[in-house]
Amino acid sequence: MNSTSISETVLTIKDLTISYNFSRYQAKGIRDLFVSFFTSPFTFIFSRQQKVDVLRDFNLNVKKGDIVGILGINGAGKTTLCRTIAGMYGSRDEIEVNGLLRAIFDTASVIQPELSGRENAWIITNILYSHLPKKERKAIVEDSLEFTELNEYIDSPFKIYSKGMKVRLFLSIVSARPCGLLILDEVFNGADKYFNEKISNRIRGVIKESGAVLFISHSEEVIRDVCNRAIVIGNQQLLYDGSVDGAIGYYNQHFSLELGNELQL
Amino acid sequence: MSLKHQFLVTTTLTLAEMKARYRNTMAGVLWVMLNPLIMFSVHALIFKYILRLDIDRYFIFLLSGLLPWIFVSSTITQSVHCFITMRESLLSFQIHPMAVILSKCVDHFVNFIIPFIFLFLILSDSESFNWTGIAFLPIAFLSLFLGVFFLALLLSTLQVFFRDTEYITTFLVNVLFFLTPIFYPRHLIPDEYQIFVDINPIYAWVQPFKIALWKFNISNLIEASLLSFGFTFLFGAMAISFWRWTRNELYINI
Repeated sequence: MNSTSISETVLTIKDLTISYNFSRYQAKGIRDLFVSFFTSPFTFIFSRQQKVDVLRDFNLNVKKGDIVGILGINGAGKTTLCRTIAGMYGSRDEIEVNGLLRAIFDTASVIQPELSGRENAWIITNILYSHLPKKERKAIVEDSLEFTELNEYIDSPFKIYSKGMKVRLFLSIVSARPCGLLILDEVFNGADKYFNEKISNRIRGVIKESGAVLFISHSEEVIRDVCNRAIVIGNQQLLYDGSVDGAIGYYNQHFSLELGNELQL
Repeated sequence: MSLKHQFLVTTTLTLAEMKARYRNTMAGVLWVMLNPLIMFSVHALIFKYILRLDIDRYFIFLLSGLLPWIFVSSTITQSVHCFITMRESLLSFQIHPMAVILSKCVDHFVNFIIPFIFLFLILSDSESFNWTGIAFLPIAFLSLFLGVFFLALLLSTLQVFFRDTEYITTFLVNVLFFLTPIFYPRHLIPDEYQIFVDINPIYAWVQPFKIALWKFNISNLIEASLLSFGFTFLFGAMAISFWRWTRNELYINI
């Protein structure tokens, strides 16, 4: 599938650079600081900041109807890019999002393990759909709980849920209502094939009704199944932007050998 | 994200925290009352009846000092590591990290204010209060809450980069409990050490409660409130500056 012809822009990224101060990147104790200061005070005071660029002058346009698969080796900056779009890193001056943004980066995370699946569903719904009135949030919780097919486990403590059960709950809530831009990072990991098919249909339905999706996955099969456009990120920049087959071909051609070498090491 | 969104997220996290804490406990939500009441009773027993400290209206003195202290110490010791413990949620959802700290503070503030009002109502039967002083209490609560919020934000951000912060905070809170005139009057501290009380922010936050409830004096109360807000603004400036400086690296380090 190619990008849709509808030309409403959902996401615009212009000349985005994301960098980290590497010296703060390593968690230290006070003792480490003392040791560094007393062993080499000159270096400690005057050492230059170790800046690491994750992405440099990055540009991307996403239009309504686009389901963009993001490919790249580990550490290429896929999740960092999506978190920056979601407003979790730095400033968003270079990023423009038209419409509501909803992002989920881990479908197996726990908010309150002691509370039940139903209670955690309420928590997640309140976080993701805080702009909606309570009546509609209640409808989302009820609809999502039914969609999960967790049945008698819904009122059991969340801590006893398997990873797959958590994935079911999270994805059902995330895909309950349309939004401007949906960001999903490795969300299908852990769900069984039956639920993957079921949730894929639901996500497709949500996308049809509204905006676009950024979708991170290392699974070529899932990218092919879900996306209609794909990009490849590497060497701090956008390397490929186009069809899904083209992106997978580019990725395999340029990174499979590198990856193989890394694994051998 | 709008203020309304942040308010709903904070309220949701606070209620979830409260529900989860007392789930599967025998006394349930009664622990909110029991913990400070037991602490209050033990202090009253030891210092009034065993050590026989000669302090006028000792129960009021203790109410105005000990309960705000419990709020400060429990909030900062339990929120210092909350960016680390809430790591999964912070990295998975668009939850503003400050909402996590704020929810901890609101949770502990509720735990503080319920027994505070309960003890105040019991003591008001036998003790007399100055109503102008009581009218000043909301200002004392506001300064205390904001000060503790900023201090908790600063310490929890520091903890992300320096993992010793938690141990140092626990140690300092334990030491400061004895060094801060909370359960004994300030005049017992020798003159040469009074400077340490002046620079103690927790004492500054607690002092307006003492003056409003125990020994009311309007000029002393205004002076103490200004000092209390001074410390609140100081910690606010430090916390926000450090937060902005390290925000990008915070998500990687947690």
